Amino acid sequence: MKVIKGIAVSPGIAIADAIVLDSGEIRIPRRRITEAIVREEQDKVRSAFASAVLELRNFQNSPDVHEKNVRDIFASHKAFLKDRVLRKRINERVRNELVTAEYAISSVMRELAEYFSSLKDVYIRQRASDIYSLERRVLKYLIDAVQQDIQTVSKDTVIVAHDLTPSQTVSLNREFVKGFATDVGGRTSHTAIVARALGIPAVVALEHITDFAEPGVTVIIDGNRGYAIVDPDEKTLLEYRGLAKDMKRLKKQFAALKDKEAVTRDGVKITILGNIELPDEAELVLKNGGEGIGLYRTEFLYLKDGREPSVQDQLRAYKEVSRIMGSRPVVIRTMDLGADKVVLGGEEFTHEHNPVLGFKSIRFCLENMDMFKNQLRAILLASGCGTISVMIPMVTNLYEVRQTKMLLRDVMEDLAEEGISYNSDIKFGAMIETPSAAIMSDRLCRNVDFVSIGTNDLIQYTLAVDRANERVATLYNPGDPAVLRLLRLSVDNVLAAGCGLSVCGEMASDPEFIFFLLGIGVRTLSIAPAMIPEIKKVILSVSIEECRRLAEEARDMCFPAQVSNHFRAAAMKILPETY
Amino acid sequence: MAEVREIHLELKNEDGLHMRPATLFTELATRFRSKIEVSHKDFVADGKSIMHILMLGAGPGAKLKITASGEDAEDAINAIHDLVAVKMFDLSQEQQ
Repeated sequence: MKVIKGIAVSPGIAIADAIVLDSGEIRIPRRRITEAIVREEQDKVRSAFASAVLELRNFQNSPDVHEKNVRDIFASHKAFLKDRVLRKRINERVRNELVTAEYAISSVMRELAEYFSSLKDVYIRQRASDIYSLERRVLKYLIDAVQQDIQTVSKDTVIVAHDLTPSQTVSLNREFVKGFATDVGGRTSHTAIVARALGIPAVVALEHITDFAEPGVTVIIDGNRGYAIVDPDEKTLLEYRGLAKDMKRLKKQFAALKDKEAVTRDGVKITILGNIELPDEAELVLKNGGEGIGLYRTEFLYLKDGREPSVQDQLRAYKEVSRIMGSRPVVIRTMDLGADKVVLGGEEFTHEHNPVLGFKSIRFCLENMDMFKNQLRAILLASGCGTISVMIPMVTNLYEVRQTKMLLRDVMEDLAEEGISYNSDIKFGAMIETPSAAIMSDRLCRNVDFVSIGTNDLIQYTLAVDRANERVATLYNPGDPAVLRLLRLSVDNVLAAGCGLSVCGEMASDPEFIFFLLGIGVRTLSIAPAMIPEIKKVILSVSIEECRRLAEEARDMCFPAQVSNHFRAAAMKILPETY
Repeated sequence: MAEVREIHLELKNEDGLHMRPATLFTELATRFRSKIEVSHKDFVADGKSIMHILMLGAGPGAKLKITASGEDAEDAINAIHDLVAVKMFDLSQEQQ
């Protein structure tokens, strides 16, 4: 059994046998096989080499290839692939070390490439790159074969992958894929987005799970707490089976609440909205009883194909969400790119020492004015239908807000000149997710119609903790008194200014912190669609009076543990069934 | 009756035994039934394996010992001599 901690990106528990996907570009994990399938793996080696040789022969004989030296290169590559010593070495590795065909090929060829790069002779040293290209050429055949598996699965499966590309994810068989686990990724990785859209449990950023999970081994995905458990022991398996059953039962209970209003015991109406990334997810929000979209993240449009989407592409997506939501509110957040969400000419970001403190979000938008204006145009074009508003991410100063408003007006003028109609009253909002925005929230509010407090980033920036850095991740704590103070300050300012307010981020879907948020005056929450029923249940079980008292009691606490214990004790009393 | 023939050659071509000459070498070597071994410094390569030949890391001026053992050893050595000492040298002239 191996327990690996990652980032939970889509809640729920999945228990099934794994299909393991390799990443062709990066690295092939060392996976062990049993003695019984050595032959099978060696056959795979042979057929992959044969396919690659055939491909090279076709290149070589292609009428398009006129130059002799190009044909010679193909000829030498072919000679290399037909080399019996090379093949023998790979087959021996499969047999002696009991590893997969793809691992044996990759490791032998890479050793060879490394050997060549260590040689003195410059001509031979350069052959290393030939070997790498040959490695890819051969592996392609093996990896394609595995990838076809995921489209044709016919039993419950958990997908374990280094990462999934958009084309892989759209081809997944949704009926049988019960969960995802990946080596890399963040909340906005493709896997995460798709998993949430489908309501499938997923954990990402597991680092080396592809090294540990062999095809066919049982894997538990705990999308609530962010664990993947490979080859669980009997006790763990039983535990999780019980948990999964409980969750199923609770889900049923929660589903019954769908059409019930989210009103506290003392009659205060709380608005529950959903956070989405894909238009498809809007359906899920409605299905779970959400009353609108509080945060429509638009990054995926840009990440999907690695290039800027056309205004038409964007318009189509925004209109689709708007159509699904009807007259309910939809808050479109402009692209939050940069740092971990690198695309478009992304080279320059990757070299930043501190990408989360660097060129990202609204900073990126304001530097890529044409791109930003295209997005604002698409949002305005969609604004005629439904109730669409626009919101900007990661504000740190008022210049950013004013500059964006100017741009928005520019785009409006353009549209007016072209005689195109749009909603000139479109509401404009900003995220509070940096301490500077929180501290300046009284002034920020005078410049916008509404704000949404993004707790994930606000916690990260307030506590100076990069959540992805495991050495400090434990310092990331929503219950830190500094976080609570900053939240209270922001909420007080926003309410005093009469500005619209919502909270999006994980705190809004954690029962313990809901007490706090409701207690300090928050009345609108925007959360992951799958969490809506549970949060509704919490709201129906509390009174604002209790929440206020609990928040007040936490006011002078100095340590995160005190805060956590305080709210957990309350939660256990109010919601005994979920604890 | 297996014969063993041996020859010492110096690589005269400009680039040494890189991809293209190595391809030629192994193509030629495979035509013979004899076992062909190429030694350079401490490394002994199977003359029929392009991977091994490249692993010799034999640059221009490298001194090679080539051994053929088998019934056509003599023919193999002659052909190899012809390739390494004459044709491969021509090859690098051609590239000039």
